[in-house]
Amino acid sequence: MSIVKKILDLDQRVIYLILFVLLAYPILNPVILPMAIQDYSKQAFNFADSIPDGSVVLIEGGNSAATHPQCGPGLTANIYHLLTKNCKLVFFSIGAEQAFWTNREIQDAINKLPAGVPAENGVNWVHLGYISGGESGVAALAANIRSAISKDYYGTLIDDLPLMKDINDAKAFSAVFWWGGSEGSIPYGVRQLVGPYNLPMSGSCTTNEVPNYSPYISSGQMKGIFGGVRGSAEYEYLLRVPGPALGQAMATNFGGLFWLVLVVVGNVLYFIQRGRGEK
Amino acid sequence: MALIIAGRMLALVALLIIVAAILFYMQRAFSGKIPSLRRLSAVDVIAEILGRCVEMGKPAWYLFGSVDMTTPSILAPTVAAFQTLAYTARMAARLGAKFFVPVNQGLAYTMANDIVQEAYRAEGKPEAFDPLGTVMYLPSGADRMYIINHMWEEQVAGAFFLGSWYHEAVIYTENAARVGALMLGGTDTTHNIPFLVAICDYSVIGEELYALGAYVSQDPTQSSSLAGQDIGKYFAIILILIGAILATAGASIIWLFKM
Amino acid sequence: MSSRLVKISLPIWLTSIFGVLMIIEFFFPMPAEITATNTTLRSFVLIVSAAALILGTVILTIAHVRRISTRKPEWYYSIIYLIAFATTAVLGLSSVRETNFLWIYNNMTSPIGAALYSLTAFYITSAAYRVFRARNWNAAVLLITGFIVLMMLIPVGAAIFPPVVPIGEWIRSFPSSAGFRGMIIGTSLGTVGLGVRIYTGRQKEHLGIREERKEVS
Repeated sequence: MSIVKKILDLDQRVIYLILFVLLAYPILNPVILPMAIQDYSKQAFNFADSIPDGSVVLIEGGNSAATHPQCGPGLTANIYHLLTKNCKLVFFSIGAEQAFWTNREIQDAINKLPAGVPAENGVNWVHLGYISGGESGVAALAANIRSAISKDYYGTLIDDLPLMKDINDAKAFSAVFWWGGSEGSIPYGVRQLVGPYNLPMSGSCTTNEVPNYSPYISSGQMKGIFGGVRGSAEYEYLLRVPGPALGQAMATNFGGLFWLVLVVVGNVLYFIQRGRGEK
Repeated sequence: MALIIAGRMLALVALLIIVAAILFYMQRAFSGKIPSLRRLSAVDVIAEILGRCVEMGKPAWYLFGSVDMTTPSILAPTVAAFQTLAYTARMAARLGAKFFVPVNQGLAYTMANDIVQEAYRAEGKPEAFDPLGTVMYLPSGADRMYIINHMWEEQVAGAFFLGSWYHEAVIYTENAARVGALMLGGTDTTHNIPFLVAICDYSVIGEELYALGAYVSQDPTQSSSLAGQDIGKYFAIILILIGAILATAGASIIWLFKM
Repeated sequence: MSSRLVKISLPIWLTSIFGVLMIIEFFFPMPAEITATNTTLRSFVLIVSAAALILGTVILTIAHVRRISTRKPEWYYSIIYLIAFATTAVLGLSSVRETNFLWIYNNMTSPIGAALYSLTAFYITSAAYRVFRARNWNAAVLLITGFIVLMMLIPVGAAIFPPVVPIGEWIRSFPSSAGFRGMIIGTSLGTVGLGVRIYTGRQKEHLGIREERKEVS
C-alpha cells in the first residue's frame, strides 16, 4: 500500500482526537485573537441599538440543550443590551425545552446586569413560556396573546402582570428578536409578525442556517442576524461584555483551520493518487 | 373599509394564480391528460445502487431523516420519499436485494411498513419481507447509534437518504461513505443540501425530490401539482424581472407592496 | 357513522373549511364574529398540539412495552427507557421546577442532547478529509466556495488572508442568497401545492392513508 493511500486511510479516531484537543484547549485556556465583525452581525447589533429606550420588544427564545452553548450567550447578551436600554421584554418559546433554556438565559443576563438596572419579572420582563402549535401558535399569539396563553412560565396569570396590562397582540411591540437556534423557525416570525404586522425583526440561528436567511436580510425583512457562536461572540464583543461565546469562538479558529487543512491535504493526496493511476 | 387588507393584494393575486394553475392541471390530470415529467437520472441510479447490493450480497438501506406528519415543511418531502420508497422497495424485491428501512416516527413507520410489504407482495415475494426486520421503528435519538453501528456491522453497499434531512444527514452519510456504500441523497432542507451533494455519489436537490416521487409513482395528483407550481415559478420569474428592471431604472416599486 | 366518513371525509372537510377561513381572514377584513371564531380555532390548534405530545409519549411507551413482552432483539434497552420515563414523569408531575427533576435535566438530558448534536462536528471533520473531493468541476467550485466562506467565518481568517472577508460576504449575500431565494420560492410553492392537495382531499398521507398507485417500471 503506497504512503499516499496509508495517509488517506488514516483512522478517523486520530482525526477525532486531534479535533477534540484543538477545540478543548482554547475553551479551557481562552486565547483571545483579533476578530473582524461580520456585516450581518453589525446590522443586527445596530438594529438592537437603534430600538428606542423603553420600547416593548418581543423575543422568541428557541435555544435547546444542543444550541444553548453557541446561541445562548448571544441571547443573554441581547437581553442584557435591551434591559440596559430600559426596554420591556416579552419572551415566548415554541418548544417546551426551549422555554426552559430561555429562562436560564434570562437569569444569566440578569445576573450580569450592573447595579441599578431594573429587571423585575412582570414589570420589566415577562416569560410567557411554551406556546404549542408551531407557526399556528405564533399566529395565535400575534393575533391575541390571551387566546394563546393565560399564565406565564411561572404560573402567574397574565392579567396579574403589570407589563401585560396593555399588551394583547403583536401591534403592541416595537420590534421582535427571533433566537431560533436550530429550530428553522425564523420564517415563522417573518410570515406571522413581519409580514402582517410590519414588525422589524432580527435574530439568531446556528451558523449553518445563516445562508438560509440571507434572502430575508437582502430584502429587508430581517435586520441582520447573529450566526452561531461567532455571532454570539461578536455581540459580546460589541457590547464590551465578555462571555462564554468569545472563548468558544476562539476554539472555532483552531477547529476551522484544522478542517481546512484536512480538506486541502485530502484533495492534494487524492490528485497525487489519481495522477499515479492508483485507486 | 377596503375590500382587501392593505399590503396583501399582491400576495392574494399570486396565491390565486398558483392555486388556479394547480387546480387546472389537476382537473386535466384526472380526465386523462397527465402532465409528463422528464425522466430524472436518479431513477436509473436507484437501479444501479440496488444492482450493486445484489452483486455484493450486502443490504441496501433507505433512510427518511426527520419525519413529522403534521408539519407541512416536513410532510411534503416525506410524502415524496414514501413514493420513491414504493418504487425502490419494488425494485429491491424484484432484484432480490436485502432491504432495510429504519423509521423514527410512529405513523410514518406504519405507512412505510405497508408500502414495503405491498411492494414485496406485488412482486410475488411476500416471504422475503421480514415483518420485524425489513422496516424498523427506531425512536428519534436512539436511532442514531443503532444506524451508525449497524451500518458498519452489515457493511451496507447502498443507501438512500431521501426526505427531510437535518444535521443527522452528515453523520449518516459520512458513515455510509466510510463503509463504502453507493449513495443517493435528496432533501429540500436548504442548509443540508450542500452536505448531501458533497458526500453522496448522486443527489436530487430541492424540488427534484418531489419530481422523483411524482415520476416513479405516476401519481396524477403529484404530477399536476408540480405542473401548477411551475406556473407559480414563471410568475415569480416575471415579477423578479420586472422588479429588477424597475429598480435598476430607479423607479420605486414600494407602492406595489402597499396595495 | 361509516368508518370512511369519520376517518377520511370528515377530517378532510374540516381541514378545508377551517383552512379556507384562515386564508380569507388573512386577506379580507372580517366581521368580529369570524375573527373570534378563528381565534378560538387557533386555540384549538394549541390544545391539540400539546395533547399530541402526550399521545406520542404513550405510543412510544406502548412500543417499548411490546418489545419487552415479545423479547425483540436488545429488548433490555426498553427497560431502561421505562425506568427513565417513569422517574422523570413522577418527578416532573410532582413539580417540574423542583431540584430533583431539574437535576436530571441539567446533568443527564441536556448534556446528552448537546453531545448528540456535537457528534456532527466530528463526523463532518472526518468527511472533510475522506469524502470532500474535487472530483469534477461542480465539486471543485463547491469546495473552493466553501473554503472561502469558512475562512471568512473563522475569526482569524481575516487576519490570515484579509480579502477573504469581502469575497466571502459577497458570496453569501449574492450568489448564495440568490440560490437560496430560488429554493425558498420552490419550497413555498411546494407548500401551497401540498395545501391544495390536502384541501381537495387528493392527498391523505397525513391521515395515515395511502392509496394504491401504479408505479413506473
